[in-house]
Amino acid sequence: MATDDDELWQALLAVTGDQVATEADYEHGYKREMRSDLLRYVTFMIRGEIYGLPIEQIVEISTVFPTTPVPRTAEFVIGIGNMRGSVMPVIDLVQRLRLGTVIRGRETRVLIVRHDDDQHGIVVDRVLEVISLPPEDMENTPGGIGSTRADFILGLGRHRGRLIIILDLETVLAERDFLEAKFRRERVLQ
Amino acid sequence: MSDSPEFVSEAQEIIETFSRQLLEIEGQIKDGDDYDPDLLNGSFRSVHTLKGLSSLSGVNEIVDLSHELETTLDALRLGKLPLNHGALDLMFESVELFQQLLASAVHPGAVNVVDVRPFLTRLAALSERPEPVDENPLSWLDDSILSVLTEYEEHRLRENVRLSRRIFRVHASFDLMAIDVGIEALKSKLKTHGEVITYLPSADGSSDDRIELDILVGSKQSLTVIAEGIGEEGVIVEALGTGERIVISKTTPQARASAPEPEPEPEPQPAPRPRAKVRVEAVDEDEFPEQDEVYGASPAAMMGPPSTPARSASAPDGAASRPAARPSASGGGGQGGGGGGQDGGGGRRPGPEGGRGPDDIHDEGGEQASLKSLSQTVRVDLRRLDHLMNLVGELALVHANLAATVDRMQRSETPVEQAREFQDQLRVMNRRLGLLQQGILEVRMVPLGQVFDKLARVVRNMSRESAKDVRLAISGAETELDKLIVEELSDPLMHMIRNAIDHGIEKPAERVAVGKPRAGRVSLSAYQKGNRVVIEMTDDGQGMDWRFIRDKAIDKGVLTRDEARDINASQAINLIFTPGFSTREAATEVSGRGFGMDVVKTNISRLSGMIDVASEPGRGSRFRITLPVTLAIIQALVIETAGQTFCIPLNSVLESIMVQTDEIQTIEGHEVVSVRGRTLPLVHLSRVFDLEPDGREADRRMFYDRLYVVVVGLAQHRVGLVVDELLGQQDVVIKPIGKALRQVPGIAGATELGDNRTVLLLDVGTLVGEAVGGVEAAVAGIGSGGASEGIGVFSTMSVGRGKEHGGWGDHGY
Repeated sequence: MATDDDELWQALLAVTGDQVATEADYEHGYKREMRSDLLRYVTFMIRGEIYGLPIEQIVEISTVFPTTPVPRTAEFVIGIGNMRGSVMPVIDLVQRLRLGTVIRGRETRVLIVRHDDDQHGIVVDRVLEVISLPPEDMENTPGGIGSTRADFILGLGRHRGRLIIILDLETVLAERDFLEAKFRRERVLQ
Repeated sequence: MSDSPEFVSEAQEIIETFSRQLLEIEGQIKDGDDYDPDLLNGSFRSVHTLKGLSSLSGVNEIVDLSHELETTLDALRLGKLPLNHGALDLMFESVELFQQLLASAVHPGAVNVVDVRPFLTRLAALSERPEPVDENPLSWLDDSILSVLTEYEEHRLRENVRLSRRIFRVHASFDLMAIDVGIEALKSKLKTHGEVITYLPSADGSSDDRIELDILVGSKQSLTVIAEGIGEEGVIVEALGTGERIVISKTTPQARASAPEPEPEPEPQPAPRPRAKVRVEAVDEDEFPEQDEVYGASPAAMMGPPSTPARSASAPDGAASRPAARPSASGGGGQGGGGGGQDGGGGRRPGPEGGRGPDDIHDEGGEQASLKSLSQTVRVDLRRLDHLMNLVGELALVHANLAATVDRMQRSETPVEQAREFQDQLRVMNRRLGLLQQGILEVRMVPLGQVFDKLARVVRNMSRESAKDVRLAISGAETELDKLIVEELSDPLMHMIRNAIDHGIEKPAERVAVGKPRAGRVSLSAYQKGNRVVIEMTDDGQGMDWRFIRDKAIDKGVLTRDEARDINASQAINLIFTPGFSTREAATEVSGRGFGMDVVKTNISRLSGMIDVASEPGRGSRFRITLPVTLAIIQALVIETAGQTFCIPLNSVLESIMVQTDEIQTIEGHEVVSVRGRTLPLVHLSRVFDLEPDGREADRRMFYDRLYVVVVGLAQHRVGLVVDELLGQQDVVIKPIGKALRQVPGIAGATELGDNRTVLLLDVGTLVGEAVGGVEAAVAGIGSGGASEGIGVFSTMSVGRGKEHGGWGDHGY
């Protein structure tokens, strides 16, 4: 009755979106928990696109907190904010990815990430959920995406038929870009 | 495991101690032929401890090196090898090697693999040198004594004889119950006269409750002097060889009062000998007596077979240096601290610090280009922590009281009394909080001696490399500064010392020719002045000729001929801080690339310190650095401009004034105002930071005829910051703002004001620098005097800042 199994499998897949082990799989000694190479990502929405960051990089997800603007910084730097006693720069990811500016609403959230020993706040439109992606569902950035934006992308993942854009914090939070361009130039000269 | 912070800080501490001991030995050898054997014993022990520690942590490279070194040190200690400059050089080299090994243990892969083999080969070569066989100078000594001496004691005995000291036998008897105290007292007295070689149990008959000991002492002094110095009834002093003896009677203690010897001090110090020139932070020997009781005088050891007392006799020597290996947390504490670790620990990382980069590559022999410590720990005296704990406890009490009062307030009809009680409790809390703050600041304080010790090594290496004889005099090593500042200071001071030796101090022959002492002298002194600490570095070298510097500056294109015409002496000397400026034609290994003083200036101003220079050609130069005691909590002036709040560190604020708008004049478009006869350039904070669209500010100003101006200063520079509002002054805790924003010129950090608002703290140095680059040059152009000092110095400040890493607050507190 392989077709029945298949149907069931498909049905479950449609509901949960996860891979579902069948009876037959278990008979062959399959244990779902055995997969240890699944990577977990926090996904969030920006301008209708789904982005993801590895869960290890996220410290916490917070509602929007007050920030103080910092002069002489790039547009995407909203300012500095204080989260539980530690002061951190807060950036507008929408603007960082050159997709406009974040529109603050009820679902706007700040992802607190740890990068290079410093905490950073990243403002996103909406946080979705935590997903697990097996490495084989990951693909490299396809060519043809605008070159600057491609730098921010670590790879693409597929989850329930939707594309998840995995961001590269290294470039998103590149220190150099935090400065307003005219102050940056001086460093290069040096 | 190997990179556990405890291991790193402790290992570093031991290495520092070892180096300090070596420096002290070298200083003593320089002054005379003689050195304190305790120091050598101490260094042996340091290396031994290091070996144990690193084998525990599995850092095998350090184990191997320390093992070999230990063998050599043991041979030196026993006199099998002569302790000469060659040997000392190798020892100093090992200090550097240890540090490199430690650095590579902390950051595997970050640092080049350190190859210790060449060093070990040379170490082995040293040990192979044939021993000079000298004739037996001890022939006159009683065989009964010689036969019970250990190898080490025999060596010390020979050494004493070689130095033509006389050997005395001091016979004393001690109460069995109080023998430890008695021996200690006697020993500390003897130490002021000479060296205690050994204790021997006396063969003379003794009563049941007393123990008699013979103590062998080597001393240059005469029998009577020693006898008077001891001044204890019943002690017999006998000069071996001549047979003279004195039995001290009760009357002698009186005579002692007039004796020339100093009172026995806690720090044993050979009396007739001048102290080493390189005076390194004194080993905390106050603990010495207690330590000694354990090692030196346990009665069981005394009564054992001959070899046992001998061993116990050499142990006190070790105990003496033990406190050195473990400086008390209060005094030498926290040597381990601070962290060049992440900050590039030694510039070996080809970071963006362009200025320092090339300097480092040429540092031969891997001399640490940065003296910052590898670990970030501060050792804290337990008592300080207890104190803090106590305060926290009291605060909890206040909290409980407050809660109770609130409770009663809610139930009470007339809450007047409760309100008063509430107020009382608030006052108590405020006081406690103040104490807590102060207590925590104290924990962050470390003595400057930590840096000075490292500098002593720099001086030594430098004077070797440049074939100049340089003595370093240190005073005020106990002055305490915030750990963060001490760490940040090490590099500037190192550059200043390098410069002083390379450019300042002349070659020995030249010095003699101009009638100066052969050895050059560099002195470092530190002292507290109000809530600031002043560090002075003076050298007695050739000084700086400002005309020469001016001409060089023209050659290098730093200064135009027109500018040069109006320049005065102090302005010219300030040119040495310009990046890339050097009076050298070609860079040497030591200096000459022209970036050292730039580093000095940038680092110091980042610590909101000031530096000024005075120099007299032919006589030497003096650099004076003034620093705040701490950066963690500072007083700040809170201001508002264009609707944003900022804090300005109060220590750079000179005054706040109100200026009538019609007093403002312009020079080449730059606004200036005259304050008490001085031209003060004005800087609009809102414009500098682009806080509002053009024009809006002008609209706002239309309604006012006065401006608030905060006069800020850095070194001799004065700039008026135009702000909208002065909100008051407040103690603020500086918070790090992360690497990304630290590079923003003009922003030093962030802090929080009472209402949970995050507020930026201005970096006055940079702002003044920017202003000076533009406005002041214009002011100088019309020759308005004073305010234009040091043109060019700051014009590239923001550049300098940009390449720097580590502002305040990045050290993770």
